[in-house]
Amino acid sequence: MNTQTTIEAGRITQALERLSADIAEALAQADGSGEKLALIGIANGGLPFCQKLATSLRKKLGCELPVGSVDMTFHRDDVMANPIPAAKSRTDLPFEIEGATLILADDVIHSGRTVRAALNEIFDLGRPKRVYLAVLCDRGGRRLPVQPDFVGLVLDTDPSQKVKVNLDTENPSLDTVEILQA
Amino acid sequence: MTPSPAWTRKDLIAIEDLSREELDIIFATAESFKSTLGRSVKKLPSLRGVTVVNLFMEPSTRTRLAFEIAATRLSADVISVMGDASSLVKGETLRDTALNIQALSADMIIMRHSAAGAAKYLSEITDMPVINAGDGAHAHPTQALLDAYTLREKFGPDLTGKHVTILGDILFSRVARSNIWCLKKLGAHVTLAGPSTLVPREFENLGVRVCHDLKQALADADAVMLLRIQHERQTSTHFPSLGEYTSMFGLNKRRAAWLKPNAIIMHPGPINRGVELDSDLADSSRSVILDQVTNGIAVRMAVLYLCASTKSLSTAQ
Repeated sequence: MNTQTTIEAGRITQALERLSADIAEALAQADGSGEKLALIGIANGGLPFCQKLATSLRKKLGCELPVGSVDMTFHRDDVMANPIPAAKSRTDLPFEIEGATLILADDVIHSGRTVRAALNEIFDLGRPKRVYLAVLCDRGGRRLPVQPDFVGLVLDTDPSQKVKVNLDTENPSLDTVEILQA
Repeated sequence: MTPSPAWTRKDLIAIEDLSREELDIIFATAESFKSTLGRSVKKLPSLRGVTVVNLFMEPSTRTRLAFEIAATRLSADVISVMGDASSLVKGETLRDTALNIQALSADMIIMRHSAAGAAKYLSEITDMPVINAGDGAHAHPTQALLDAYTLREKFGPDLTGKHVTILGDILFSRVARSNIWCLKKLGAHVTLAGPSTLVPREFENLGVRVCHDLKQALADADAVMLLRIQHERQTSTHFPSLGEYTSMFGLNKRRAAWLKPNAIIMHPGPINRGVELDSDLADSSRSVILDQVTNGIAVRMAVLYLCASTKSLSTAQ
C-alpha cells in the first residue's frame, strides 16, 4: 500500500485544539453546567484521539471529564461476516450513562456504520440526554445519515483509499494521518 | 487491533477436530460475550433472524437451558424439541427429522443424542451448522470448552503444565473424553482417577495418567473435576453400591485436604450430593461449579456465533 498524502503533526495539533475549543464553546452555549458530562472513545482507533481530546478539554473546561471506551463489535451490521477480533478494548463506561451528555469520539468517520453501531451499544447501557459526535478526520463517503458535530480535518478521499491515523499519546510531534492507496 | 483468524468450521462435533488456534478463537469470542452478561439489556443483535432448533433426544436441563439462553441472548429464535415429544417416537428416522427441520427453514441445529456419532451424521446430511450437545459416551464439546474457559479464568490463559484430575465415571463419560482432548491440546496434564472398573488403563493411550489411588491423584492437582455417578448405568455392574463408591472415591472434607490449598473443585452437574461430592464442598469457596454454569452461556454464545457466521458467509457467496 502506497502512502499518497501525509498530514504532519503540527496540523493535527492545530485541528485538535480548534476542535476542543469548538466543543467547549458548544457546551457553554448549551449551558451544560452541572450536567453529567463524559467522553467516550470508539475502540480501538478512537481511543488515542479520545485521550488527547480529554486532555485538551479538561484544560478548557477546567473540570474533571470522565473517559470511557465503547466496543461496537456486537452491533456491527456485518457482524457475521467478520469474526470478533481476538484482541480489542471492551466497552468500559465507568460513569452513569442515564441522562448524561456524552461526546463520542472516533479518529475517522466514513460510512457512518461504526457510529451507528457505537450508539446502539451505548443505548444498551442507558439513555443519555444528548450525544455529540467528534471526529478527527471526516473522509466523506457516508452511507447512513450520520454527521459529526465537531470535525478536526476534512479529507478528500476516494473509496479505494484508506486513512490511517497514528496518534502518539506521549509525544504529539509523532502524530500523523496518512492517506493510503490500496 | 489484531483481527482474529477466520473461523471456517460449519459444525462443532468434537474437540479432537479443533486446532489450538480454533480453541483460542472460541475463548476470545466467549470472553467478549461474557463481558455483556451482566448488563441490564442482555440481548445482542448478532443472530437476529436466525432460527435455532434445540433437538434434545436425551434428558437435559442445564445444557439445553444454557443453549437456549445463549441463542436467545444473541437474538436468535429458538425452538426446543424434546425426543419424547417428536415424531421420532412414531418411528421417523433421525435423517427425516433433520431434513424436515431444514425444509422448515431452520438455520442451525443443536443436538443431544444417545448414539455416539449422531451429531456428525447430521452435520453430513444437512447444510445447517450442527452443534453437538452430547452424543452417547463420545463427546460433549461445549462442556469441555466451558470447563477450560473456567480454568483459564482461575489460572490465567496459559494452562501449560497445570494438573487436572478427572475423578469418577470415566468409562461412560463424554465429558471426560472431551475434557481429555481439550486439556491436552491446551498443554495441561490430565490424571484420571476412580475405581479400575470405571477407569481402565486403556485411557493411557490418550496421553493421560490413570491412577486408582485417590490420595496420589489429588496431591498435585490444580483442579479436580468430579463426574456424576450415573446410577442408571453402572451400579449393578461396575461397583457394588453407591455407598461403597462414596467410601472409596467420594470427595469429602478430609480428602479435599489432600489437594493443594489453591486447587479448585469442578463438576459438570447435576451433582449427586453426598455421593461423588459432599454438599459442603460443593458450596465452598473452592467450588467453581456455578462459574462453570455461567461460563457455559458465554462459551455457547461464542460457538453459536462462530458456526452461524460460516452459514452466513456461504449464503452470501
